[in-house]
Amino acid sequence: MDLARYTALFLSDSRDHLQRCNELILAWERTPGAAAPVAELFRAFHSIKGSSAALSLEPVTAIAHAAEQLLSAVRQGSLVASVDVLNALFAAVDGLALAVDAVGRGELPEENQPLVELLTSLAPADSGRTAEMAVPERRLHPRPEGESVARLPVRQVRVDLERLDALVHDVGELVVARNRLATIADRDIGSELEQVSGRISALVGGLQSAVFRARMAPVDEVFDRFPRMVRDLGRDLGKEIRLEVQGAEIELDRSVLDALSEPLTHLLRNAADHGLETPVERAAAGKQREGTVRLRAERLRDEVTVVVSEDGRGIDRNAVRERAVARGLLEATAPLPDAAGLLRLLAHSGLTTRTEISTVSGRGVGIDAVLSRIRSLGGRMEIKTQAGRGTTFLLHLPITRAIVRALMVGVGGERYAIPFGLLAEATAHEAPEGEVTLRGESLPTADLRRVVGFPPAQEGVAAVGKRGKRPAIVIESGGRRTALIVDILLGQQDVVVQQLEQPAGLPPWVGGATILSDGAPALILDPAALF
Amino acid sequence: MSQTVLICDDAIFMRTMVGDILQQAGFEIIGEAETGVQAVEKYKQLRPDLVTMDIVMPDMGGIDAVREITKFDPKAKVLMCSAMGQQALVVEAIQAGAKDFVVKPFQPSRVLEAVHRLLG
Repeated sequence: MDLARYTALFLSDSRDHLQRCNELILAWERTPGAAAPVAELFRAFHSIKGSSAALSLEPVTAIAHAAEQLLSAVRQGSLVASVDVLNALFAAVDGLALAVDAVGRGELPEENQPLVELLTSLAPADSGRTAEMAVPERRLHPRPEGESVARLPVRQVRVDLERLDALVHDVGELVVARNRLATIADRDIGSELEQVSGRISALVGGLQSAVFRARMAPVDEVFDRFPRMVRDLGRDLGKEIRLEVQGAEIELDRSVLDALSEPLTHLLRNAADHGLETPVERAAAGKQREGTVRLRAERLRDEVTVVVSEDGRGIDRNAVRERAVARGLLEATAPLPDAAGLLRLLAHSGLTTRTEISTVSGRGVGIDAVLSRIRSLGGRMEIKTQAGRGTTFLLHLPITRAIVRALMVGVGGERYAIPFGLLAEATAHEAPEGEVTLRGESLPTADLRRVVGFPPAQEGVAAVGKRGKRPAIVIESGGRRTALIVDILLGQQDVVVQQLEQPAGLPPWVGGATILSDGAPALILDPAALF
Repeated sequence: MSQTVLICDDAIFMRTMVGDILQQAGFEIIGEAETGVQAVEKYKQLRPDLVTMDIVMPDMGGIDAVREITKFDPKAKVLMCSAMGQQALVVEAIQAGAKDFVVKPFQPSRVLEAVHRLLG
C-alpha cells in the first residue's frame, strides 16, 4: 500500500471535512430553529472514520466514531441538540484536528480517552447501531429544484510552494536579464535587436504576472478559522460577539497570507478581549448587548487592506497620554496623540503589558508584534478609534513580496534599496550635529556611509551638498522612529527581491538583494536591523 | 478484455484505495461516483461489470442507489462497502439487491475475494 499517498489524501480530506464541520456547527448554533445539518456532519465524521481506520489510526477512528454515534442519536430524536451536545461536537472537531496534525507531522496520534468518553456519555445507551439515511437529508440552504447535485469539478492542481518559489526566482532573474537587454537594445532604436527585445519584454511581463497570479490564494484560507475562534473567545469571556467577514475572496500572495495569520489572530483577540465591553456594560451604554467584530479585506490597485474593527469602548487617548508621560515617553506638555502617534505609543514596549494597559484602555497587547510583522511584509498599519464607538485597525499589505517598491539611495557611488513600507519621511541632516532632529525630536541616527564601511563624508566631497546638509530618511519600525543619513536620494523603483540564504558573516541589515535595470547588483536594506 | 468497475464513494480516499486494489488486480475502473444519484446515472451510462457501493453518501444513500440500479438492471453486480457498526444495514442492502459486502477498513485480499466470487 502506498502509505505516503494515502496519508496525504487522508490529511487534505480530513482537514477539509473538519473545516466544514466547524462551519456547520457554528451555523447550527446561531440558528437553532433551522434545519439541522446532521446528515452532512455525519458524513464528514464518517468519512474521517473510514479513512483513518484504513490507515490504522485508531485514536482518530475512535473520536470520529463517537461523534458519529452522537449525531446518530440526534437524528433519531433520542437526543436533543443541546448546548452540551454542540460543544461536544466542537470538542470532537478540535480533538480530530489535533490528531490529524500529529499525523501530518509523521507522529502517531495519542489516544484521547476523555474526549471519547465525553462524546459517549452524551449519547443514550441504546443508540449503539449507527443508523443510515433513514431521515431524508435536511439542508441549511435548500437547493433549487433541477440544479445538478454534483459539485462542479474545480480544475485545480496542487503545487508545492517550493516549486512556485523556484519559478518566481527564475522569473525574477529573467526580468533582470530582460531589463539589461532592453537597456542595450534601446541604444539602437528601430533595429531588429530593439524589436526582438520589445517582444521579449512583453512576453516576460506576461509570464511574470502569470507566475504571481499562480501564487495568489484567497484570504479565506486564513479567515476561515476565525468565526470559530471568535465564538470560543466570546464564550470564554462571557461576551456576546458577532463576527462579520467580508471580502474573503480577495487574493494575496501565499507567503504574505501565511504571515498574516498570527497578527490577525492577535488583533481579533484584542478586539474581543479588550475592545468589546461586557453585555452589561454595553446595555448600560445604550448599545446592543451583542458586540460586532468586523474582518474585511479589500483590494485597491497593488495593495490589499485588511480591516479589523469592533464597536466597543474605543481607546481613551487621555489615559494613554498620561501613561506615556508617566513612563517618560512623552513630555508632560505634549498634546493628545494623533492616530499615528497613538499607534506608536501603543506599540511601544513600555506600554504593552497587559495589566497596565487594560486598566487604561484595554489595548496594546502585542501591538508591537503585529506592527513589526506588517512592516516586515512591506506593509503599513493604521489605527482609528473613537471613544464609545470602537476601534479599527487597517493593515495595508502589498499583494506580493517578490516585488517591493523601494527608495533607492546612494552612498559613496553605491546604490541601496530601502523598502517603502518602512519609510516615514525624508528630511535633511545638518552636518555638525550628531543626531537628526525632526520637529524638535531628536532621533537615534545612523550614517549609511559608516554602516557600509566608507570613510565619513567631508566638506567639499561631491556626496555632501551645499552648507554641509545631507539627506536623511526617517524610518518607522517597532513603534519608534530612527534616522538614516545617506549621500543622495535616487528615486523610487520596483525591485525584484532575490532571497539570500543567510551566509555566516552577512550583516543583519542586509534584507535581500536585487539586480537593477542596468545589470548592477544592489543590496536591499533592512533598516530596522541598524538600530 | 479486462472487466470494468464503477466505484461509488463520497470519500476520495476510499475511491483511490478501492481503485488501486482493483486496478492492480487487472480491473478497469471506468467510472467513479460521489453521490447515490451519480452512481445510478453512471451505471446506466457505463454499464460496468461491477459496482462497489458505499452506504453513506450525500443526496441518495447507497442502499437507495442499489435499489434504483437493480430496478434498471436486475443482473447488476453490486458489492456493498460498509463501515464497522453498519452490519444491520448490510441486510437491508442485500434485500435491495446488493450481491455481497465488505467491511471497511478493507483488506485487499478480502475485497478481491468478494469481487471474484461475484463475477464468478
